[in-house]
Amino acid sequence: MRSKTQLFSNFSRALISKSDCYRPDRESDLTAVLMDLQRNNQACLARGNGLSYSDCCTFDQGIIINTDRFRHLLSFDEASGILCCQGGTTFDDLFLAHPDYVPPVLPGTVHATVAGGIANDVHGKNNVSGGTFGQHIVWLEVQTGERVYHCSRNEYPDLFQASIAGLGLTGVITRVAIKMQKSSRYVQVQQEKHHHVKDVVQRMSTEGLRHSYQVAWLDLLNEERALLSFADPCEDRAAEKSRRWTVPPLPFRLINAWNMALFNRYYYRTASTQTRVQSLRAFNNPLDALSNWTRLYGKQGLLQFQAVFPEASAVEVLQALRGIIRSRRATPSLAVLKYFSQPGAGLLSFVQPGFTIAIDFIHNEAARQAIQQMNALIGDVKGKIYLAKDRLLTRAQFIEQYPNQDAFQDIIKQYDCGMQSDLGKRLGLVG
Amino acid sequence: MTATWLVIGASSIIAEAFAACAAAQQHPLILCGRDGEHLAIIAADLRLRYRIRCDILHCDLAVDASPVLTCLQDETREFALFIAASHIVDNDQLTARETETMLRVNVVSISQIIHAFIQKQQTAHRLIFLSSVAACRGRAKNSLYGGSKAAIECYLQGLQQQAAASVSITVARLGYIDTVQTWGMPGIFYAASPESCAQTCWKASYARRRLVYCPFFWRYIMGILTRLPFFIWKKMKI
Repeated sequence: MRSKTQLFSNFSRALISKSDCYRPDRESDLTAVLMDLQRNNQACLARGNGLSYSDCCTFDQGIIINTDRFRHLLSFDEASGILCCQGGTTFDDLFLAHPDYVPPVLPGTVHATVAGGIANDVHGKNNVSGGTFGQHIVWLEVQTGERVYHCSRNEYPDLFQASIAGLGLTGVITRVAIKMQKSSRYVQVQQEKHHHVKDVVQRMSTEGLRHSYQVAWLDLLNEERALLSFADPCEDRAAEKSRRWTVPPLPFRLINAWNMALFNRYYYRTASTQTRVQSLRAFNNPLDALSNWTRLYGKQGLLQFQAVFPEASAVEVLQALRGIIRSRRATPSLAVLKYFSQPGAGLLSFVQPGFTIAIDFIHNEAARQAIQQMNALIGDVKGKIYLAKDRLLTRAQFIEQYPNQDAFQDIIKQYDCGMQSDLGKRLGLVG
Repeated sequence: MTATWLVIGASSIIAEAFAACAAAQQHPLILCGRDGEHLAIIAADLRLRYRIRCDILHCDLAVDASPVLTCLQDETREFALFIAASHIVDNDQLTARETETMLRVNVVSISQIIHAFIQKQQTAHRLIFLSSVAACRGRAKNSLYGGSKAAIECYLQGLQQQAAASVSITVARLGYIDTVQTWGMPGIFYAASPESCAQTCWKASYARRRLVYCPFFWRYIMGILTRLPFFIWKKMKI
């Protein structure tokens, strides 16, 4: 099979890599490619839609296996709610299985693939009720060379646990069984406006526990304020917006500090606090309505920072992060706060109980310095940086924040997984 | 009555995209091809996504077309026919065996299927044949393949000539489509997505067009190439 030399980036468009890419059409073609690579002792990386913010979806000067053709739904059992599909299926496609079922956990974009969701053990706005995506995986098939491992909590449990949040380094995730959630695909949303972060933190860890979904939008460009949203499935329906906008490639950046500050003020002022019904996708993935929105950041793209930190020190950490951003003069264009009560399911899962903040930055030197300083701070408070978002963590910081990485490395050695990525190289994850 | 689309060569990515177009319009499907395992995956996906009836017919056109012919003969439901099956061998790869396989798949089996379909008693006949721009003019690289496509095109032209109003026959001449054949091949300046190719075929058939190019601009490229004097054609390295 022929490969094609292609340029790849990640979701934030903040990096460029060049790789040889194979795109097998069938599972048998994938086996042939993997066997060939194994024979030549070449590492590769399976890549879905490339929607991670970090370098876990790129492999510069390496071999990429494009999984575009593996997006078939295979079966759905209404009695058990178990859906089987191929790894390249998107979260959006999961909605097609049955009108009464929704994916148990939805990441920030529904265009991410299921295998990518597993490889990063993604979370949604429903961690309190739904946990992470990995917890809903009944079994998965991981292929290394010609060998396909059918893994679950009973079969190859070590490989199963390593593959969840395994950053695609344990092999190609070819097939998956997901326990879907029987629920309405519409939610009733209520919003609250707050002027102090400590009120938001307090409301999220008390009132938030009574709701299925919760998320807070923070304004880091003006005075302290936040919009806190709670949502619960409901029987009412709302019209789904069929119109989708798309941003064309731009030679310059449209987002800057003053227009985002202005936008934030407008967004906060016009936000409605009345209860309303929205589709789950519109509530959970508002940015999906604007395709290619990262192009707004121009050719440099954006940087995202996401960390989790303990509940007890949440207010202080948030103030400290705000202080670092101010002092470094970085521009935080968007910030979102979520609450976790359940830990992740994989060896390298990011999710642990506490608060998590995700901040988008205009990509410049100030942002890089701010993120490096924040990474160090998060380590000090026993928090973690999300590897799906990170570009700047050092190996020492990684080892400190992810104590299971030794066990992870042992497993990929034991199974001779043969995968690699830029993130794997940077953090020394693959031997 | 909604016709059942019989998709020949259904495991190709263009045929799969076309089957999705038909399924989206709630047409039942029969997927016909060699790779049973892969067809089962495609069929399961179409059933789940579109809630339609989708069956599989195992058939190797390089051996014989009889499973398809029997299906056309025995089944009472109305069919529409999408022919994507094709065996591609370049001239420099030809052996006696390869030549036979290519002609058996591209010419013998497909003309038998077309004949059986046109003979079948039903209220309307709708047929789409995926041809290639290679059929327009013999080229050193793959003229026998081009000729095998041209043979079916010529046969279909005759059928179009005598076609009743209820018969719609569309020939789609494909240029570069983003498939495994063009992936990583040097000199591919633009390759249309299989989905857009399938849409073009679907729309052309329901607009009762006889001939369509995909991507559309190949009409102009081939318009020029077929009119070039032979002494220039002979000098061209394409």
